[in-house]
Amino acid sequence: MDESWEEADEYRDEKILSKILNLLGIESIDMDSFDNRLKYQKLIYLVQNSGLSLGYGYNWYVRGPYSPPLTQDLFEIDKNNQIFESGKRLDLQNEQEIVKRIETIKDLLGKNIENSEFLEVLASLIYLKKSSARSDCASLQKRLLALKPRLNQTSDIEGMLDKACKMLPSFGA
Amino acid sequence: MSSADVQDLEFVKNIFDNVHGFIPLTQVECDIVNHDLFQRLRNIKQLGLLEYVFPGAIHNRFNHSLGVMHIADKMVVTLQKKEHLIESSDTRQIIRLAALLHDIGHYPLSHIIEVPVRKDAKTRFHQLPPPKGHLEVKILGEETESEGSEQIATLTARSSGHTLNHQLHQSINDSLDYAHHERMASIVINKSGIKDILLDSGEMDQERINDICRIIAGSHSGLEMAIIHSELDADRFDYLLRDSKQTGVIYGLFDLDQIIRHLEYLEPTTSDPDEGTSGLCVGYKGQKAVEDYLLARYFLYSTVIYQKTSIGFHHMASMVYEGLLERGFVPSYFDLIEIFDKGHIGRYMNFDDSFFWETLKTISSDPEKIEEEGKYQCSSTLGAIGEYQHSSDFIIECSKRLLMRRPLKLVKEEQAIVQKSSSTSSGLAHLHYGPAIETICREADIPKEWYITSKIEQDITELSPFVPLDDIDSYIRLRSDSIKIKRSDSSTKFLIHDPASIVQFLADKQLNIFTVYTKDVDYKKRICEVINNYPN
Repeated sequence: MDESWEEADEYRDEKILSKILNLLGIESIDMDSFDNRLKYQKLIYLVQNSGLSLGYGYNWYVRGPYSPPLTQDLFEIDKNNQIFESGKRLDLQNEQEIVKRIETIKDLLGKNIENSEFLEVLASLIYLKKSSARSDCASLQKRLLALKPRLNQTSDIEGMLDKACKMLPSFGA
Repeated sequence: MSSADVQDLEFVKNIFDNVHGFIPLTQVECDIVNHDLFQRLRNIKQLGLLEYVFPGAIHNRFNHSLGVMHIADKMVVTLQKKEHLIESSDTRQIIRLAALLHDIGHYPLSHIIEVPVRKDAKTRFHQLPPPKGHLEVKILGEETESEGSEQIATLTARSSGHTLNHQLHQSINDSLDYAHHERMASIVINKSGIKDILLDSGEMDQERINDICRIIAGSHSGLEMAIIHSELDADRFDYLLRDSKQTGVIYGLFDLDQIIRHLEYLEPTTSDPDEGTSGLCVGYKGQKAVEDYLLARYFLYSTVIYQKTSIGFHHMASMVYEGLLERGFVPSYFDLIEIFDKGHIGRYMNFDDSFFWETLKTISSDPEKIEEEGKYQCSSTLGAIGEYQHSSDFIIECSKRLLMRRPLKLVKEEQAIVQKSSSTSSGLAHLHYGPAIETICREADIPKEWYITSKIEQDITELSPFVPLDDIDSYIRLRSDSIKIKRSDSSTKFLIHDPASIVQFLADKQLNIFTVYTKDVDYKKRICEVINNYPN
């Protein structure tokens, strides 16, 4: 039997994903950590909302926008580090423009790129803005807290919400 | 909170359903049921071609839609009594309407036709330049635009139906799955008299109609969506009971009332983090009913849905549609949005099971017709791109077989329950691989299109509402989609983690069904001679 049937390029999407995560500053994938899983989900959501399409559809789950196919691809990368390593070296079409957009996201998020709770709040607000007629920050925040009462216990949730709201236009929301 | 907080509804009529008994309807629901486009669902069989094997399976999307509304209502009332789903005063009516309309955008023969249309639309969207300001991330050297994409780009850009589909469901646009029947529902609702019925009811505005569309398509937020889209949704509950009753295969029965009685909504805590659940779970007293429900689903799928003869018919119908699609004889997603843009609702009305059968009769009785130009311009651009995927002779032969209920010849079938993570694949898996197929067909001296393979790899405890046979790889099997149980101390656990649950022992298993079909006994003999000596 031809070897290529095992080795066919079935990891195209995972390799592209690895490249993008790497450009975001992630050096390896660790899916054992809940915080990491949440971070990857929300970062890719933000990347897509900045106009870079990776092909992942998102639905609403208890932690906000979530893509099951993305989780599947991430587990695949986690299982086989070679995918990540080979993805990192991938050459993309319009790579300069892609790098530029990702750098903009990184600048915008600053240290919050490591804060999974902030990423959850920001991604959730973008989702809510794009999936309803609510346009003002106050009603978006009210809806978010109604959906996630747990956030009321987060320290400085008001500050976090305000900061996230100011970023919405950068993500097309 | 008392039961008085459940939204009161005024019911004006009852419809008797053979599964649930009397189903009460409000005035707006009555008006929708009486609308032509809802009546269209009477002519879309719930189980496609399964009636060829289970003659009782003649129920349709009309019955099912009523049943889903009835079950969704029971779920909402239970949750509202437990202080969930009470944010808006009209939530109960909105969810009932979303449930009633959830299949309004369905294709003929249910999922059989949907799969080729979605596949075609996705492929063609993939070839379009992305919207202004967007970039599709592609590998250097990958193909970008292709022939015919300019026409499709122009069409979608000026289509109000597609624009609506795009605007309403932004969170799922990146998947390019615009032709999914749940997304088609948004177009059907908004571009027909159904929208007028909803607005005229005086009970809602355009934004609430959009909410209904988003709940149906899975792009909404909150628990409302989980009633229609989750492991514990009204859609699955109804189809299982209904399909079981209609086919006469009793394995699909389960204790619905016990599950609903113990439905709960729980937000995850920091000590129990979980990013991928809908929040809908079941109290521990309902656990055994849930286990029974999961097993019932497994038995119904393995006995009914994946029945080998019906899978053969399913593949034939799907390939016939693909062949007709590329010749412009049947509508693509792009033709359908054009139909709505032009207000030709009557043409969509006729896009049902009868349409499929009539098309088959036409080409079977006059085979030369298939060489003529099809009337669906958007579909026919496919043919202009290159060679047809399916030959005319093949389409005509399959059409005749479908019309006369002449099944494919089974060459080989293998079923096995294996570990999900196991690297050991089925003994027949190697016969489904492209180069192997080339070799086998060459050595057996048969046309490649008559070597028909089917590969089903199905989790035992996680079955979606319907896993299209042709789209099996895209089905996501993840722990995160599993059902959660609320313990007596209010903490939660995944059912698959409970050592006292039968589901735990089955959770890491999957059912593999690998099948090879062909045209007739002669072809079977020739294929068998080759594959019996073929190395694994």
